[in-house]
Amino acid sequence: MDENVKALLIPGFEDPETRQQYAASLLYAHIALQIKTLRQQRGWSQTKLAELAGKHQSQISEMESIDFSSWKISTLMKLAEAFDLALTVSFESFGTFLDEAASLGRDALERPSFADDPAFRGKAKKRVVLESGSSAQSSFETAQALPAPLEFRKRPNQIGSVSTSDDFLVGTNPPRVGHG
Amino acid sequence: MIPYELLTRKQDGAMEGLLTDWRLEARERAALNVMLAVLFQVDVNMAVGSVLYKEKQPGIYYAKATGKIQLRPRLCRGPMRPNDEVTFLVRAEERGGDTIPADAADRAAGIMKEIAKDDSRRRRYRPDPLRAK
Repeated sequence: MDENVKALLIPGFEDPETRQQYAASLLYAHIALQIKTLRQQRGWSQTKLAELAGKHQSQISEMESIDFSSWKISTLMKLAEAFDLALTVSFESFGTFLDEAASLGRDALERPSFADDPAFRGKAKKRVVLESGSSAQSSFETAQALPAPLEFRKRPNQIGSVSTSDDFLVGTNPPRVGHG
Repeated sequence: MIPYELLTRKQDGAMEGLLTDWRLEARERAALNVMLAVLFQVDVNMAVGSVLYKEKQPGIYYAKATGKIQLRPRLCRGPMRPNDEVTFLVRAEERGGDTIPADAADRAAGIMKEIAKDDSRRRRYRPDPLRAK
């Protein structure tokens, strides 16, 4: 963390009565700036995000201000859906919270939508083919350049397997089966 | 962005008087320090509309730190490098929809012009951890 940022924030966390105030202000700033960063990362106007999230442009403008404090989980979930991202909410120690919430630069706040998420690059490839209408040859080349995609496949039951006909992920740790 | 503060006649940083001598409760102090911490980390495109809000005077902005007291310090982008720097100019509050002092933005515009002619009247703001409490 930047020395100037440390100097501004860390002293406030030493006092039990004030650290919740600091945590709240920092949380509001983090949410507002991440919404703005994600919107700009996608090249969207406030109006475009408002349409996708079922809000008014003026509401998006308010939410992008670091002093906006009237957050609802339901609103954040709508925004997450608009950005094609997952929303996480968790309780943290102050140290962990500071490390994450006090990192407010653009690089720290940007997130890829599902289509560009490296963990699901196989799905991203399929989407590119569908949307761009590129040829089978170029699709094949794209597929060769990417790591093996994650796929859902059915496997026949094996002896000792607890699975019946459930789908499970190939290419990651398989489910544990066959106890005893 | 890089925050700057004015210098007093004694060549001390004026931010102490501009911001940290404000008699503030914990909520306002937290909002103010977080606002400053944000300014240190964001670029101008992130800052405008989220931390800095335009005044009618060219180059002049106000920042928001909200609590019982609505802190609205006036500052300018630059004036030397408007995409990289901000300079805190005038301490101001908002009460009942009115700015106090009422001419905060005009004062800020005047100081901005003076700094543009004489950059030695300001310096980089470096927060003192003891003052941040």
